[in-house]
Amino acid sequence: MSFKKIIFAIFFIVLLFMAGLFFAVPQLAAQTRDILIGIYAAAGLVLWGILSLTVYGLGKSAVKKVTGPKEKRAAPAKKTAPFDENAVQVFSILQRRGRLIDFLKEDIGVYEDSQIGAAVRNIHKGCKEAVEEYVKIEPVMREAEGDEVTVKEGFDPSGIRLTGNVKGKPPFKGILRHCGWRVLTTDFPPLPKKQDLRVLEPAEVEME
Amino acid sequence: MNKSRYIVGIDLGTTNSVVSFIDTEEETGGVPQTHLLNIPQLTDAGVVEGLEHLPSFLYIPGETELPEKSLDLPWSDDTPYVVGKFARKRGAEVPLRLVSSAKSWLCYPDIDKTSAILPWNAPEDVSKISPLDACARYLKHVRMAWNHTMAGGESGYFLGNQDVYVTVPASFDAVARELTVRAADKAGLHDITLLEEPQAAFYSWINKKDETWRDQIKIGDVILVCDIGGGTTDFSIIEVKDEGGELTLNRVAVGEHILLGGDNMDLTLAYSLRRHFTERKINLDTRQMLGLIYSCREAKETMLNDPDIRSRPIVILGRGRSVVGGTLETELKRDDIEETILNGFLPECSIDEMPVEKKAAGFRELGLQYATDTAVTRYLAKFLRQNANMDEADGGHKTGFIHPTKILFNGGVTKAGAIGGRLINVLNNWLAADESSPVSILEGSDPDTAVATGAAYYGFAKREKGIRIRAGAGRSYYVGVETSMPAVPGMPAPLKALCVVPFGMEEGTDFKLAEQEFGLIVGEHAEFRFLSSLVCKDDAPGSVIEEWDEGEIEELAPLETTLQAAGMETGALVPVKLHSYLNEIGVLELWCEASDGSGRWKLEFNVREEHID
Repeated sequence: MSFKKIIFAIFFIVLLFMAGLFFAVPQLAAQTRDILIGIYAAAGLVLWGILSLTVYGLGKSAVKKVTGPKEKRAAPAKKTAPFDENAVQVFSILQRRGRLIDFLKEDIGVYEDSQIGAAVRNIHKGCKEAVEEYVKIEPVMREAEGDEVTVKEGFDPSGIRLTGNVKGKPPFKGILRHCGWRVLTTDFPPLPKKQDLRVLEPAEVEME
Repeated sequence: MNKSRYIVGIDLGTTNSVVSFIDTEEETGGVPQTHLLNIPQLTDAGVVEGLEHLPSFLYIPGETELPEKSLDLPWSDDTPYVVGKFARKRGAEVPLRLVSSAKSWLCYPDIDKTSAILPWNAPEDVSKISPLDACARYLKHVRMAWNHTMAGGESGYFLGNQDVYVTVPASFDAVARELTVRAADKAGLHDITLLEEPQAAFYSWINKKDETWRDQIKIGDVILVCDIGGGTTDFSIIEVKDEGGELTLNRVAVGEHILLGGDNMDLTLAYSLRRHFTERKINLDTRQMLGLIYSCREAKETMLNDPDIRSRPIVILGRGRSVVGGTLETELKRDDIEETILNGFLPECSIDEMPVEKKAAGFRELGLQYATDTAVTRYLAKFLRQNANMDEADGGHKTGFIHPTKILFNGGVTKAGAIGGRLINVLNNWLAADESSPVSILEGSDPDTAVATGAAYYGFAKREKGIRIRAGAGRSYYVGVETSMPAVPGMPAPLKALCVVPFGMEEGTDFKLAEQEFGLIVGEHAEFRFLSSLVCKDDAPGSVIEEWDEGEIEELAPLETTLQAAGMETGALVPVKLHSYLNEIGVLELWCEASDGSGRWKLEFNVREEHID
């Protein structure tokens, strides 16, 4: 039950109670007045109950009218914005196996090369093992970088990028500067059910 | 059982279990092909993946610590614990909920292996299990994984209906073997056969060599199988003999169960490096220690495989988000490895040396000894000397030890070239000093999977009547008989040992001990002390041993029975004789049979707490 609804309920009970008291004739005997107060309070509760349910059913607008000025709380970002679960899974694996996100989020400018280097060895190892396990990657062109290669007619420009003096028609001769990378297969485990798939790595709380 | 399609070998390891199988319907042109089972298991919360090994770890989560459905397996969504890689991973974060090394507990003498004691020292709210249960659960996971992956819904292909061989260390005594069979039974595998791990390793070597193995072995060869795993070291000797023109293999000696292995080496290295940090006033927490041990293991393996590498960096990443900022570094030098591993665990020594033993506190030695010395080479020396007499082919060697001619390595530790190399050097020095030629290595098996693949191949060889290693009982077993000497206050009654199972007794045979008669009382609990020996190989069943040297005969869990018989009045005395069986699956059974033939009662191993009276 939210804080807003509780405030509303209390407000309404008090309102009804006061109304009850107002209409209760002060001259009545104490006993009868007590009974009347009780009846009005009970009636107030019942009315509040009915109204709460109705308001809840109708939506938040009625509630807002009552509680609007009382609290200005920014609604927390609800889990409704879309995200790509499979992309998150890749980052999650790289974080859990190689601590890549920790590394990328860290300000490494303050450290010596040797310290960064030492840590990177471990991060590299973990990420490399994970990548090799789940993705088979091959070079786009198999020749050694620095070798002269020929790019045939009808080549796929999304796979081979020409630089330098690009003119004329294929076949083109040139020096291979980067072999390119292409994915052969991906083999990721199924996403776990019933978990917050946005979590790359859970927070760790160590118990004493 | 009717011949099943699959023959399956299960290596139920201390740290990792591996499952291998032969498909008898597969076309392989004669030589059976072993395959490894890809075992689905949880590798992270809610993530199931297949691996060719199943870490022998079990994690018992609390009610709220893991997300819902984290432990769902393809065959079960209500298992309250997890087995395998995720168990090991999570157990590193929460050690008090982790059950590990359950197999070693099966031969731990002084605890009740059937009561819920693991995880050891876990707090109240962790629901504990017994070592027997832990082993049963690993086997159950294997069974369910097999049925899910291989059976395709046909019950004829369920693991419980295949020929299953489960391996045990050769040094496992009768009690530990029976517990292994009980664990399998609990797991739903009611029809298994046990096989010793060093033998399995040898079978795997035979299989890998196809038909050429006979070229590498000749009559008279003495093969030392040297199995150094993560937690244990196991030695066996297999002799190659000639019987009527046929080459036969006989397993003639078994070493004691030495609780010493690769994990000890990694721990020693890690602790020696930890000094570098404590000197700088940095204390490592548990996670960082684990990271240190892991890095040490990797660095050690790299250096032991490449003699040119002089040192390796050891890096422990920072905890929390500052992975670079919190990094701790040191290095492992080749000198550290030489000193700690090679000189600490495999020192040069003479054939006469004994492992350094701590003096036992009590008046009576109970159960198996723990490795008090880290020198594997000294244990090897002791093993070769203690088994010298049995080998006639040796002739009259002056220093009296077995001279191996070939060596087969098994176990992850032996993958590092320098370790095998050092062992061979030490062994060759002993041989040369006694005018024998150096050993040669039997190469070609995979030390991580040989036990499992070898077990599957053994099953195949049994069916097809292929070459088999003759083994039989790896120990002689005795029942304790107290002498009828007058009691002396303060002194234990002297014990004599009545041999009920001779060393080498063949599987499927039995002995009736006709001479000794015991009186059991109906309705009363009767207990027999039970002992075994790895070295007294010549004792015949029925013979009584009055004296033995320390360590030659050791006491195991007692045997017990309560005589219940219809038609017998409580309190009546029944004279019985003992009858021992070594059944086909490798388990020892001891029965009391009434001398007048009116009944028989099986003696059961009392695996509960030992009382020291």
